[in-house]
Amino acid sequence: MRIRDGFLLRDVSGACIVVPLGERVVDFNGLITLNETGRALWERLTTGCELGELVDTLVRDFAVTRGDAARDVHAFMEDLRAKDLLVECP
Amino acid sequence: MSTPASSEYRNLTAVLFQRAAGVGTPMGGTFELTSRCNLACRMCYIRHDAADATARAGELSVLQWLALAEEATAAGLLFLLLTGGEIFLRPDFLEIYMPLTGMGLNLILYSNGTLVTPALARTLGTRPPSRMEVTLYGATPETYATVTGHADGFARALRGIDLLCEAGMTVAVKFTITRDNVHEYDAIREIAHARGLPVKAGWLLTARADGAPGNASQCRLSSAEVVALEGADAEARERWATMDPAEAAAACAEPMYCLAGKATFVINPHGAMNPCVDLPLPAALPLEVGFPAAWEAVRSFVRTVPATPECVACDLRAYCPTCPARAYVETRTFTGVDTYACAIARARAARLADMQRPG
Repeated sequence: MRIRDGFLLRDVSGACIVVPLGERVVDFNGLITLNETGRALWERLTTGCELGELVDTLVRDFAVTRGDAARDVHAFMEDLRAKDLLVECP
Repeated sequence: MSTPASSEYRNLTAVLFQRAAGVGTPMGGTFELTSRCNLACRMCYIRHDAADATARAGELSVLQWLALAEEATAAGLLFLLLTGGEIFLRPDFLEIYMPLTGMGLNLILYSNGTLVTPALARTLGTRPPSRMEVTLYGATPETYATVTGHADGFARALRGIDLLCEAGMTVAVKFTITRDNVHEYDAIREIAHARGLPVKAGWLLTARADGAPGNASQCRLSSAEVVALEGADAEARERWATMDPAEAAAACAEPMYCLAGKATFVINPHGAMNPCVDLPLPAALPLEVGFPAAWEAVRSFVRTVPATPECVACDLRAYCPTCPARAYVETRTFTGVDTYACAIARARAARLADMQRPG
């Protein structure tokens, strides 16, 4: 799965902010702020990946247990699904 | 994840702006695309006639606005307001707007709504701004005509609002309160609420930023009318009743106590950059010196703005709506006394004392 097209991740004043572009504002009119782990997950999801790869990313880059990483990934993905920001990769 | 109508969004933007002010990032910008307007409001701080050839000739081109937007975005611009004058007077408005929608900006548009056509609304609706604010100057054609000089503008503005809503845009109704339309505030609220739209009303009219003669002082409410208006507004009553005067005064201890020149800037129709729409200084020129250098000039300028000595010593500071920009446009000096603000501060303090008196 991956993030829908039409979003730009920006660094502004030390904050990581995702902004919808152009027609994407029609179905997502707002802003997303991401912490470090959220940013890592978002960047992986921009090109597309599986859940296991997201957990691997957190375990590798943030020194968390696999159980904690899985919980964080699950919560993040639920949030993205609720906003309809995910699509299945072909 | 937050959307414009939510309190979470307001809290997020407040935090982002405070952080930007701390490090001097120009996070919020205003592009005044034109000073020309098809309406003729007597109280306006910027207006030139729609057909004013001199004003039109001095306006930046599409490419100049886009170059400024790109440079500003690289410097940290996130929230960009496009305003006028009337933005839709520019026949090339969409040539400016459409590329901006792909730059990663949160866009806001201000308009009087009278020039919105079905085709324009549909086009905007395909790549909408985060919100659009349309000003109504009255709730009847008669009052609208008294304020703007155009009776037909009322129906056209309402139609514009409806077209924008039909195109799926996030719309708010603005109401610029003057002596001539204050009696229709409730009716304005009804018009907006019937459409499910919020109302943003403001009564603080300022003199023209360019120093040309204007009529703001004749159009604005008296201090007694301002206080009566606030007394009739539950939110304002609550705000005043719970205000800590010492804390409020401390919040405006610096002469330029707002975000202007710390996290926000304005570029006027001719390309001069200033801290806010009211203040025509320092008129830095980003197209000549580059955006970063112009922004630094604006930041440096606000640090040098002096306080009005009478204001520093005033016990009513917490109740006062003035600031150096207001002092400048009202008196043409930073240290002049904004007597209109003084009258409002006195009236607010007296009303609050009445509210707090036992029995």
